[in-house]
Amino acid sequence: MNPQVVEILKTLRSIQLNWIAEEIEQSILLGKTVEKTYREPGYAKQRRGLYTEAFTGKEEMQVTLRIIRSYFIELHDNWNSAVAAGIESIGTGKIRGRSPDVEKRLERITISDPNPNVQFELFSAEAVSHIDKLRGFIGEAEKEEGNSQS
Amino acid sequence: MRASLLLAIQTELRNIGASSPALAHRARTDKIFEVFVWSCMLRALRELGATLEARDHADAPTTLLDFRLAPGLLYNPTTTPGFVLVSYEGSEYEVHCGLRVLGSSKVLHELDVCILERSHARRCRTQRIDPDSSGVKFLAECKYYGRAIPLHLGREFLGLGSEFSIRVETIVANQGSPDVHRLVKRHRGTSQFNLTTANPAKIARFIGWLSTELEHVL
Repeated sequence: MNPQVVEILKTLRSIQLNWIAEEIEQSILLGKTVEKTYREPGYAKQRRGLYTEAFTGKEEMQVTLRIIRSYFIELHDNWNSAVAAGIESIGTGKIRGRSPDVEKRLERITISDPNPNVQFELFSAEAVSHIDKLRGFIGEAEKEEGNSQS
Repeated sequence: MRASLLLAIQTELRNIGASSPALAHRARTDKIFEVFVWSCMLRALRELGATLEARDHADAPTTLLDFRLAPGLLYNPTTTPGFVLVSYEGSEYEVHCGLRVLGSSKVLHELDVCILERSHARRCRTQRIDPDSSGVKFLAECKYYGRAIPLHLGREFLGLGSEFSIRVETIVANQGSPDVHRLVKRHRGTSQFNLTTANPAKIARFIGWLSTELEHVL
């Protein structure tokens, strides 16, 4: 395996994100599906089939960067988008048909643990600043590694 | 990759890991994506001209919508998530995220995002019974992955779909999977893949598709 990918997997495991490290490892082990043409003995016509091939070291890094982007960057973007869209969609105004009129407004959307003793803030201000930094570094790495999704 | 860039990435991964509990468990990343799909549903309903109102677990107006990491029972205040009350063309519905509903086999399933008929939901709250498939108008199974979603999720979705005989049931994911798409399509289900803020055109198409389908079922 690409030694730099191995280093990133070690980092993920050191911060108890084994499940992300495992997803990267499994994705790399699955390899990629490639199309090939072949000809049966005694037949003139070429046929097409699929087979599985191992990733190159560069592709292994591309897979790794893609998965890191999904979890560490896009997840936060999706959450921000969901909160903004949820609040905007609910909108404001009087709730019709109720007496007395009720002013409606959605201020916050949260996710909580079923155990009331477990409280957490999904993305703290500190986490967001590090996500922004990582966004820049991953973008640079994707350019170096030739990932088209940068 | 330059060694200095690798080091910078590792440092930020450590910093995020230490300061963001969102990644601590897969259940949290899945729930965030469910809320994202739920927000797309709200945008689609608004496009149709529906009126939306946030409600808490006790069915009272609220300014704070709280979703739970574990699936909720409609009549149990300690597990019920908030929901959105929908008024559309003289009828009322509820949009839920992470609710347990009985399938046709009378087994409880967690529906990631679903629309229930309001009258059905109110009866269930009053009688303290679980909602069943007859009150479900729409369901979406939501999956968040870093890579192509595994095939077994497509098989699980087909099983869930067979429990709910409704027009609109779909599997939604932030990644694509040609195999799952083929499998689901073959069995007359629908899949909505590559749904992420990194792909705004796909989000717009998804909301448009939702609007069209909801117009037919609501």
